[in-house]
Amino acid sequence: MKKLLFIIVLLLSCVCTMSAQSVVALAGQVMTKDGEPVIGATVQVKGQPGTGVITDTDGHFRLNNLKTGETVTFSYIGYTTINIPVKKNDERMRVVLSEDVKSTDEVVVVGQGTQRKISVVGAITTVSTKDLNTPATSVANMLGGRVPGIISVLRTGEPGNDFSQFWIRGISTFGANASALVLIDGVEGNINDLDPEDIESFSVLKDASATAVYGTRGANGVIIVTTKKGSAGKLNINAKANVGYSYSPRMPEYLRAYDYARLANEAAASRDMDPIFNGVDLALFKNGLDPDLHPDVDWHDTILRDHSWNQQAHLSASGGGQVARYYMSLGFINKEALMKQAKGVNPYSTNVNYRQYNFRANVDVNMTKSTILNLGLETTIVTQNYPGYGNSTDALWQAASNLTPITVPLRYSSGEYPAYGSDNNQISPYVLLNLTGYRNTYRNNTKIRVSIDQDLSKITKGLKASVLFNFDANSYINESRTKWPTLYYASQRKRDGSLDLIKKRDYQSQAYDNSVGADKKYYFEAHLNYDRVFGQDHRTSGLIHFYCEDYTNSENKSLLTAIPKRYVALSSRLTYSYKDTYFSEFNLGYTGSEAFEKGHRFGLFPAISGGWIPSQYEIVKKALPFLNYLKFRGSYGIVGNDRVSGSTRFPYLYLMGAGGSGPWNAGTGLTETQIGSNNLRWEKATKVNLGVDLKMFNEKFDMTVDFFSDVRSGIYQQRASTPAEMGLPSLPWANVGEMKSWGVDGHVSYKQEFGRDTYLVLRANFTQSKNKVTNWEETIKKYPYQRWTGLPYGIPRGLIALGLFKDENEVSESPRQQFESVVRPGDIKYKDVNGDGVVNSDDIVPLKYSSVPQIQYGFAQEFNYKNWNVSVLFEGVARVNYMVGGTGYIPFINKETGNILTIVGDQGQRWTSRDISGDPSTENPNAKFPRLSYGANNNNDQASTFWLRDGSYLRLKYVQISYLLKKPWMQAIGMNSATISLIGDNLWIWDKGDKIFDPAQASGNGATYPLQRVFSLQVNVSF
Amino acid sequence: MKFKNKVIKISCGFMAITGIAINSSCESFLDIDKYIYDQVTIDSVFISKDRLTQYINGSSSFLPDESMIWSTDAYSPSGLAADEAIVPWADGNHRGEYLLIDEVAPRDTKFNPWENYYKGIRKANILLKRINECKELTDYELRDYMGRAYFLRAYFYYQLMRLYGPVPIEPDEAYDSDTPANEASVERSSYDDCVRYVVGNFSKAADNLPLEREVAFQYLPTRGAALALKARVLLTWASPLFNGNSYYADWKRKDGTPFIAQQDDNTRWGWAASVYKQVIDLNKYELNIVERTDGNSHTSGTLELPSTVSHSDFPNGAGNIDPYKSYKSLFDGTVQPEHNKELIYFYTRNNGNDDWIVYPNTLGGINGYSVTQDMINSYRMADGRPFSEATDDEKSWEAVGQGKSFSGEYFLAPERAHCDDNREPRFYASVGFNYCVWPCSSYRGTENFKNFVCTYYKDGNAQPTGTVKVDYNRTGYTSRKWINQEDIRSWQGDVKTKTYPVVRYAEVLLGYVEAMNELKSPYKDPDTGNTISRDVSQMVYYFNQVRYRAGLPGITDIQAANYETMKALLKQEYRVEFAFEDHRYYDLRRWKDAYTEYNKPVTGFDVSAKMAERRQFYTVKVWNTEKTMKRIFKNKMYFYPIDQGILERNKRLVQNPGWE
Repeated sequence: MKKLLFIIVLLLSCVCTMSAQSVVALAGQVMTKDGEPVIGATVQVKGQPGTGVITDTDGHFRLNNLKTGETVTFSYIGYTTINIPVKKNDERMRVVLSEDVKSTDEVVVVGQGTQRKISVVGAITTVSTKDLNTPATSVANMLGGRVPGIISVLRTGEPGNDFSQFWIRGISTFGANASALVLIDGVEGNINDLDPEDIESFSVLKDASATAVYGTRGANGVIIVTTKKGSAGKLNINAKANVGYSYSPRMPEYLRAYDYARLANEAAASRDMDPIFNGVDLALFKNGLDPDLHPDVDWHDTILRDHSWNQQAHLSASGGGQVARYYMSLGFINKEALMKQAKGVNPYSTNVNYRQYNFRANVDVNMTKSTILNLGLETTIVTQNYPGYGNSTDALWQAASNLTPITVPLRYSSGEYPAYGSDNNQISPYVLLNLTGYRNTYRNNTKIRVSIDQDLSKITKGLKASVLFNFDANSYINESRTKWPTLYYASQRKRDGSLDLIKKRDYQSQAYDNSVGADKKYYFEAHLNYDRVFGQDHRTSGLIHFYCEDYTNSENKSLLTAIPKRYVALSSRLTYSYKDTYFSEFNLGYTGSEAFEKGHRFGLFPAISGGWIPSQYEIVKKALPFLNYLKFRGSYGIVGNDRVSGSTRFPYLYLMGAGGSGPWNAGTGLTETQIGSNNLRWEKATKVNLGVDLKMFNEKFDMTVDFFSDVRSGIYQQRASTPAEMGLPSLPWANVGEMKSWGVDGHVSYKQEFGRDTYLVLRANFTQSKNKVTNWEETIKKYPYQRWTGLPYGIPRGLIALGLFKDENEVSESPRQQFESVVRPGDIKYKDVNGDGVVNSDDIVPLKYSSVPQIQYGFAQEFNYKNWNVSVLFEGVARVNYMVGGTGYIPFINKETGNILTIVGDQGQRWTSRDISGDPSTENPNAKFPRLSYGANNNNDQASTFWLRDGSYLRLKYVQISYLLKKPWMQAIGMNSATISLIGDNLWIWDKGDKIFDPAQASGNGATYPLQRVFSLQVNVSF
Repeated sequence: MKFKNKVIKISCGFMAITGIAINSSCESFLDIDKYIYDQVTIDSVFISKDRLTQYINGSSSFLPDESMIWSTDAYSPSGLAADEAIVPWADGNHRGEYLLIDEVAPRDTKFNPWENYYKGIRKANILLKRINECKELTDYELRDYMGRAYFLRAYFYYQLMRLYGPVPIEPDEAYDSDTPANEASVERSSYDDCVRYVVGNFSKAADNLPLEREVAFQYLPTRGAALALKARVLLTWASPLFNGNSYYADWKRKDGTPFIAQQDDNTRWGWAASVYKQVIDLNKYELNIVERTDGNSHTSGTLELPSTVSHSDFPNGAGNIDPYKSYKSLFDGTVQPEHNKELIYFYTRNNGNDDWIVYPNTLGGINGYSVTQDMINSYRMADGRPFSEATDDEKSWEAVGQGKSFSGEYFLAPERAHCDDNREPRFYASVGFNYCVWPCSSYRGTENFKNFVCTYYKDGNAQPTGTVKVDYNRTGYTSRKWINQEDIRSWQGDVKTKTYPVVRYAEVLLGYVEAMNELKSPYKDPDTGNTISRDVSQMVYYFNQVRYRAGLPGITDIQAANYETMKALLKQEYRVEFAFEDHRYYDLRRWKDAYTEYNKPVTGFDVSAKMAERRQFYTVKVWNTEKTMKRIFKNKMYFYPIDQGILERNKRLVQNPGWE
């Protein structure tokens, strides 16, 4: 209350002072963003030429006898002029001039440094997070559909696991590592640990010219994340908070007891079995009079709420002056899962949640006029909570899809909890969620980064050097406090009418366990940069970069895996451009990795590239005045991928280990435990990129298109084709796999302004990445289509379904299908691909597309009218397939366990024999489900085109409506502006599948945490 | 142009600094030597005698455990896919049975030891190439180690050839691990070439290996083992399956040579005989005998020797020996290997789960190993008559009515049928029958398991007690060859450790006689200079040693003089002497008798009869009601199919005939 009073008084006094015009003096210092004084800047009262002063050698100025209401102008060549209204006496002003960036001088982040945008000849997409002001909690989730060149998939909505997997330009290798190198402020890091709010920009480096400097680490592309830094000027405080309401828009729905039982009887009848349930059973299922032995449980209902809440908050402060500049931030993310904990059972939470705390400080200190010291501190703390059983919520989802409404009741009327078997996966999700205790995990990541930038223009103009040291420490503690209740199963009653309970699982009292781990990383790098213009037209720049890294992880406990991972690299770049029209660039990475044999550790990775901007010619400018900018780019280079062998380290070593002596009983034996891969090298990527950048109509229209190809060789594979007679102790590995990928990515945008503060932006981007395995190490195959070579990577395989058999006649006239002894009408008919008269595993062929989309696209619009802003993003994928099947999808595949989807209950969706239904029309040839069986049917359960689903979709990914509040009274209380936004995420989806679960999840049966639809309310305030 | 020079200068500067990159400090930063310096490498193996010994031991771990003939870990189908018995289960734990009922296919071979044997071969090749590097060995040790390596190489090939016939012979120098698949793909050699290669290696092994081993290392191969196995390979090569077998006339290598020789070569028998004679002439081996004992008030003595059998001292008769114990003690673990002069090459018999298929359920077994009536009928009467010549009374189902015991440990229950009475001693040592007594004398518990009189009636005491109702005997006979009279599978009892003879002297004797019998003209061995011919008196002498040891009458010169008679006698003797010892599978094949023998129906007593229906029980009937009883042999089964996965890795490899 006191505080409030104080603010009101303050407010009033401000209003008072503002009302009268008086004589004041202004004095202070003019500086650049980096805190360097601007010498010789002009400071004058607007409209009064000749009254000004010039700043001295320290950038100081003083103006006396000013009147409030006047405006003072600060200007200097090459910098944007700023106007500051005179309000009150201020002798300690800090005026920051920012460089007047012409579009030709715009700078972007590239590998190991920055470059003028105009001179970039590689394929680099830079995204400023200003364009991504979303409540997203993960950077990875912001890439798909927004950044050209990214193919991403999000498979689960589980808090803490809901991070997208993404690949730059799709999957271009089937080796151990296909993911991009992520560098945060120059050091490899975990992109999901970042608070998106702390990011200044990120650059996606896609071609060889951009990544060659990363040598053996650059083959799969690089993402460079730059975090925010302080700039000189007054204190800037930004606060953001949002709260989100999320729910599952799609989740598999299952039949209830009576319909389930009826369908079970139909399934049995379809295979000439006796009915599973008799009339009494059916009646009891219908009237629910016997909840113990004839229950009707909706298991989703017992463990799920219909919504959950998430919160996110972020506070940052930045500012500084001549001596130092700072950026500090605190972030908090809290995500709860949808699980519904039973009331009153436990005093603790067993729900899944994810909490992330971020702290960051970036401080720049000018030690001398030419030396800047930078200190970066960063800590991320993540805590997660889970129920006692399972490493994620998967166990709960599987249990919920496994248990039918009639398997067991939630709880027997006599009070016991049920389990239909003794295995962990035969227990009800209710028990798993509520009665198995809980687990929590804690982990933290701390980074300390010190760097020194030294301007060496005294030696020669344009020369700069910097060194950086980074220490990275991670640790985790996973704790579990688990227990099990006694679990029973009853299938009948005793003669006295009480339940005949059989104990399935013993009580286990509370047990504690934990696992602890830590890892550390040292990183050191040094840069030497050179950038200079000779004459007016010749620009050259050069870069030499050295770095080394050492990483140890306590989880690696064997002799070999515990060896620190080390890199050392030297790379350089030379550029030359003439008149900003012709560009050439030469990149060279010389990198070494401990993963290879002595003498084979270092590799040279060159890339050359060139660019041409014809729009710089006067003749073009005259002939095509609407054309503002046109650039052709091309690059060619070789990059490497040293992570060839997954978790195995040093596969080149020939290792011996202990063994027995067999029947000879002659003592201990010694045997080869690892056959060394001779001449082990990194995987090599030869990349070609051709691109066009185009801007037209006063730069309103902006377009970039890149065509790329990536030819991989030396992919590390186990030699499947070596003859067994060689007698190698294990199949050797070698750099033998080959793959190529190619495609196109690009974006186009159009911005139209309608007067002040009103504009419309339309953006679209598109990525297509095709690939083909050109050499897959495989054994000799009987039929060419059984090979992996020559096909896209990850393509599913199965039989070609030709529909459902119409009648016995068709069955007997068709090739014999060998999977099941009896094939009947309504069963799936397959194509005899090899024409040998029988359908068997030899007829399995590659099917259409893999579960990673070949095409990803997005289009967005942003409309701003005065203080209102509406932005919309659509995102989509195409050319993607996934296979459905298994328990929870295929009816009765496991007999008494496995839920039945409600769509199976719809007669139009399943084939039913006329002998059972008495109606010929139920023999629907287009049914989604074949003739039912009770238990597995090896004919119908085969992977085939029948169960292959098209995974393409178009999603209304994101809608944001925001209102910018900027009122004078806010300034009076120190507030600059406030933005209030309403945001919807994953609002609608158009797809071709069963619409049972989100096709992006590519799940077989949907028994996994659904992708969430989230509505958030967000407030941003800046002071 | 000034700026140009400057550009060039600066460029050169950058280049120069880049060039400095190739310096040693970077390389040493990445060096991992300090972490792995103490690791054993393949090179260090050949420096130290200890490590070399361990490496040889490691190589021998690829040897199949041939004592595992029946159950889960069976090394080959031969144990269950002979015609001696059937088991009611064709499942993963009894994979041998699949071949018997034609459920083996190249895509699903059930047994695929191919690659493992070649792994062993590779190690032997590496050993032979580098063993000389070891300076810590004495000359004697070097020869021994070389001998072991040659023995291993020969043995792995021999195992492959037994199962698959002709196989690829790898070059003596192992291929580098990165040899292109095409270069390392070797075609199968002809069977003749395989034999020559293996015989050559066994010869070198014999030249190098010591004749004797110290007590702790009796299991290691010796000169005798190498020679005996060499002889076995030669005898097999001389046998009809491989010697001019026109069935394989069209089966040829790429260059046109037939995989199986089409020209009958009788001298092969001579070579085999000559090598067998070399083993005999080592004068190291004798048939195992236990001296005769007389009964007293505490214990029963040796069975009375029938009058038809020579009462002279062994080896001219059986007057001084206990035939039952002489034979039984070979298998029941009572004679330590160093004292057993019959053992030439042997393993410890792993009792594990292998024997539980013969024990009655009550004694901790699963009871399913059901010996066929054909096998039982091949055991003679005690006086040497074939069972077919027994009187109706002797074949009768009725109970003898009087108990009896002999050799101090064997008990005959009074309820036994006449057909199981008065049989040759090997019958009692090898076979379990209805009313057979399982003494279980090591049992320390309180249940009534000692002197268990086992009955196989439908309501008999061998029947399953638990839920697995299929675990019952299908013919009324089982094998007790590997059961010591003390043994019981119970935690309150013991199972004695046994030795499993891979080659024993009886085989050398019978092999020598067989080879001589087949020999049409004298054979002069180029190696030894000895000449072997069909010598009737030698044939009688060596054959009768086996007979006398079993307490049976010897054969006469007249019988031996007749080739056909002798051949039949030999086959019968092999069948009984080596029953349940993993011989029959291979013998039937090499003699080309498999088609006839396997395609006989499975016969046995009517085990569906209850105790009250004793007569019905003892009725021999054809059993074909279950899948596992439908025994069948197709010509393709002479050789086992090569696994499809193996074929897919070597494009020059061809499948065995008939397996597609």
